[in-house]
Amino acid sequence: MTAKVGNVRTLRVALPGDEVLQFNPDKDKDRIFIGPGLRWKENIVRATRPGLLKKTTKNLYYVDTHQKRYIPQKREFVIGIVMKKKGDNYVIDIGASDQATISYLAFENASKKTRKEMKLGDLLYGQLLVANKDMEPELVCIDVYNRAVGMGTLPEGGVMFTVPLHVARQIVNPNNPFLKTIKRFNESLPVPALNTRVSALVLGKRAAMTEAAKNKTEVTADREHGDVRRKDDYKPWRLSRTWGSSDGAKMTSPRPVRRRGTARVCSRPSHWATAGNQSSVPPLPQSP
Amino acid sequence: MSQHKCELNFLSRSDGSALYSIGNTVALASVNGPGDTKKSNRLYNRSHLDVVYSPCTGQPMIGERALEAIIARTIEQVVLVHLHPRTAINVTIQEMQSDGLALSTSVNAACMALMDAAIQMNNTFAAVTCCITGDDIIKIEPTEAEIKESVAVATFVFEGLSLQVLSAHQEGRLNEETFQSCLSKCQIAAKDVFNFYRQTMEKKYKDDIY
Repeated sequence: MTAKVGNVRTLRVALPGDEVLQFNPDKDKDRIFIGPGLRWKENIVRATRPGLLKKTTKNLYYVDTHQKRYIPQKREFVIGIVMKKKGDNYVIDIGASDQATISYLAFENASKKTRKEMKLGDLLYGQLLVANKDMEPELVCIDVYNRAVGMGTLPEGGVMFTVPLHVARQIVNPNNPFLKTIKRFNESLPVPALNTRVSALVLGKRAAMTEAAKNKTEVTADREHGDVRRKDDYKPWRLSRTWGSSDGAKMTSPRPVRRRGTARVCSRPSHWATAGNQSSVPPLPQSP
Repeated sequence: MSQHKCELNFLSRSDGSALYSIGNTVALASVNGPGDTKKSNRLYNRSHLDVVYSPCTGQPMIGERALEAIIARTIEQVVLVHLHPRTAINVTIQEMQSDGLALSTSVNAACMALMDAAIQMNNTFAAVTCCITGDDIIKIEPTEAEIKESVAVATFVFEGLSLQVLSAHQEGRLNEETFQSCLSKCQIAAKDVFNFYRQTMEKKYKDDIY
């Protein structure tokens, strides 16, 4: 029943309360990392959620579970809906139990004079700066260098749909076959987020082609990824491609310092994005 | 022992749901949460658990409120409520078909629905009902007709790790000796229920193993 994909090995199906392993920080020298769905108590690591118990080569254990309710995690990319304006903040619905806020200054090139204006119902692609059980979640649309790196409001005319969390985690993988398929019918990329939401700018294939013909001088066909895109186009919905890949701009944020000999709770395994299926997708059909 | 059946994710719009049947008793449990709730239910250090039970016919009456209370107390011991302060977890149980085992079926349905919604729990739990006939024969998971002829009915809820009793409910009189033998027989039966849980969960996740 153990199957290995990349660095991740699926061990078995765990139920809440199942003993995963014994770990005594005073005796055991090998450090382990405890991911979501596991709790360490009285020197025993037990599952708290049902799902597939997985282990990475770096001794990170976690339970991969099917879930529909989003629970915010720090540093995760999410899609939110602007609900209202509240003082210097916007209130954003990210599908969690609490509504998130975002300051109007937390956008690229925003200042008190050139503040970010958003309408109610606008979609926003941002990253969670604050997410813990005692505080209201807070979003930002800039990284530590004050760059947008693809975050910001999503363009109008698209469609947003919700998917279960395990599907959302699979399709943030840039090599996911679903993403590649949907890219063939769209001018631009869908934006998968980690909070049960996916947004796609839906323009029919024909519309994409006319758009491409209009800007012929600026168009480059990206053979590798099989989609059509304009040069120097720095739009938010492009980021999904570079999420977690080596070539694109990545969010950098300070990592917590690891103490020796202690079991540490990770918010989300970094290898998650590479755990999906890898399969080829037929090439883009030729334009007439 | 009657046959157990379970269908997970029965409702598309709830966070987790399960249709559970023991014999001819069927219950549908739905779990929503941890989500937003009104201010009066917002507890500063833990999540508020709400259990609603509705019978297949008529309005919920005092008997149903009693069932709600038993189920709520049981769930409260298992769910890690401190992880989501100021939220609410709603468990709604709809009785679909009734054949005497309403309590144990709805407890098991609630457990499966909580697992389907991936609510963090420190344990699983399962209920087993038994009845004692006039000539001291213990029947595990009886039918409605068998319960009517019996002297007493007892329901035990066990936790999955060490099969300790989480809650017990009894109707009718039992002496200590019979009570203990009921308990041990139900404990043995509970092992099968936990095996059934595991099979159901393995079936749910089998497509994800590659």
